[in-house]
Amino acid sequence: MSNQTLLPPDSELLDLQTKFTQHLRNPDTYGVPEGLDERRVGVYSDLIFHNISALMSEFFPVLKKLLSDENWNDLIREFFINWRAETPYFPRLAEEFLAFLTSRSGTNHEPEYLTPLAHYEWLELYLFIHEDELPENRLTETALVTEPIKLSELAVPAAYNFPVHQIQVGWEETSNPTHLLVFRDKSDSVRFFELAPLSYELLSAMQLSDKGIIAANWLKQKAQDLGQDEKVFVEFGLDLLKQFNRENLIYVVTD
Amino acid sequence: MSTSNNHVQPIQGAGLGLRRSMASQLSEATPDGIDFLEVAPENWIGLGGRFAKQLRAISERTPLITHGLSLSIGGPAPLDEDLVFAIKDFIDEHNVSHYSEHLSYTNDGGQLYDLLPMPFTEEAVTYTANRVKRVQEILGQKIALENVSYYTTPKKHLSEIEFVTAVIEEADCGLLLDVNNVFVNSENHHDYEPIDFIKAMPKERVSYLHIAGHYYEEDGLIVDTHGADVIDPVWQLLEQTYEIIGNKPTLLERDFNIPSIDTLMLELNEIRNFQSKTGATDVKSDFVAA
Repeated sequence: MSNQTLLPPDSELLDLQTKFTQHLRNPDTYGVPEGLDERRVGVYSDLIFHNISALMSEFFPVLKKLLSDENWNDLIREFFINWRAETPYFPRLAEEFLAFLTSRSGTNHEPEYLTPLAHYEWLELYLFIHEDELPENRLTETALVTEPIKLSELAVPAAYNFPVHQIQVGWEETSNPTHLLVFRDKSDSVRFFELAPLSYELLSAMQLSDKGIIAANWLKQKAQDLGQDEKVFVEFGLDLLKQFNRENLIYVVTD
Repeated sequence: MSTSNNHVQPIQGAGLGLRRSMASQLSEATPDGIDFLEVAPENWIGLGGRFAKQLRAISERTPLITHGLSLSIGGPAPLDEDLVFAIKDFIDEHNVSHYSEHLSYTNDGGQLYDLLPMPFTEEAVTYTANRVKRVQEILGQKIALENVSYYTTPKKHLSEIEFVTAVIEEADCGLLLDVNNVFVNSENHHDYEPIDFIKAMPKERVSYLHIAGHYYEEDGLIVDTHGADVIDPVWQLLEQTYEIIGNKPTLLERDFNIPSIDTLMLELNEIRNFQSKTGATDVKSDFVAA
């Protein structure tokens, strides 16, 4: 069956389709296929370009507003030329575009915050449409520091060189280390907490560990490493975790 | 072949293409005049959170049908069987009665996410029909292919009418007859009168109809945008279509410049008006379980 659902290399159909899409993707390098009307082929060029441009504007609204039209259109064109998007699912196109942005070195004409901002906008969408649900129950205060705990898949700690959550039109580009916990709340809206670097480290440890971490142990070790007061660190950590526990973002790992 | 979902109801009457922007309102209540809703599975598969809850609320009340966008049934890239299996799961989860795709392609080794024109050749007929058969084998049910709008095609060994009917017959699948696309193609190519296209279609294979508005470019070329109200000549063609092939479930597509649901209901009521005037009996659309 499978050999009947793939075209052989010498197929006329393959040749016709390849020449057609080569031109649509990269009209400067590949001319209008022989015998076809430029105006009518142009309808398809416009359709695919505007469709992707509109979808990406929906997924990356802040990025779209901040980039010049020239920067934006160059990016979309480069996406067609250099990237082969695999996902058939439209909401996953944001992921494809982010992967494309991450794969390239960029140009001097582009702002440095382009990829970090795109990552943040992708993360908001990723969480908004994620198939997981939050844990149903909150933990007790004791469990928060004595049980092995992890972060819900619906909460992601993220570090950036720019305050990506504050970027908007008129924003003056300043690099500034930024740590966030981006999460989906009980009403399915995506929100964030700003984090101190130490909080980011604790949450990242919770996220990365397979079996969960016991927060009190982690905090005491950290206090020792930094020559700080263990009790102060544990209290600080508990206050922090209580805040996230109110949003049902933490669960105990049981095996 | 049989489907695994036993509660599927055949659709009838007038339906609406569900856009995510309508989902919030429709998840609260479905107006009486919407007999079914059509979704693009590629917009909804794998979604959690608020959208998933809205879709579940909608599909519990209103029959859903699926109309695919990304399968690239006639395209040069390998058939995306993972997508077909995911669609099968989606169909089961939401008790969906129909799955259709476009007689078109979207993927040349990477997705272009738009409906590109098939060359009208014998090779394309056999190749596409084989891929449709494979999809039907995986799904355990027949699918329908839609006659698409096209603005040019790289090769015309066959006429559009010959190409569409040949693929449908060879694949032994259904036809989603898009009345607006017939009108748009007849205006853009002057190959036939719209009514002659309708008459040439195998009417026993028509599973349901599409109707939509479109957009005139300055130079007279019509682009099928689904972004405007349905125009009078297309309403007349729809009425004639019912006379020729019988009363068929009909879906209104509106993808851009979407007015309020109340406004769209006026067009749905218009569809039902024409349907009720049709004396011909319903040609049974039994493309659910073959």
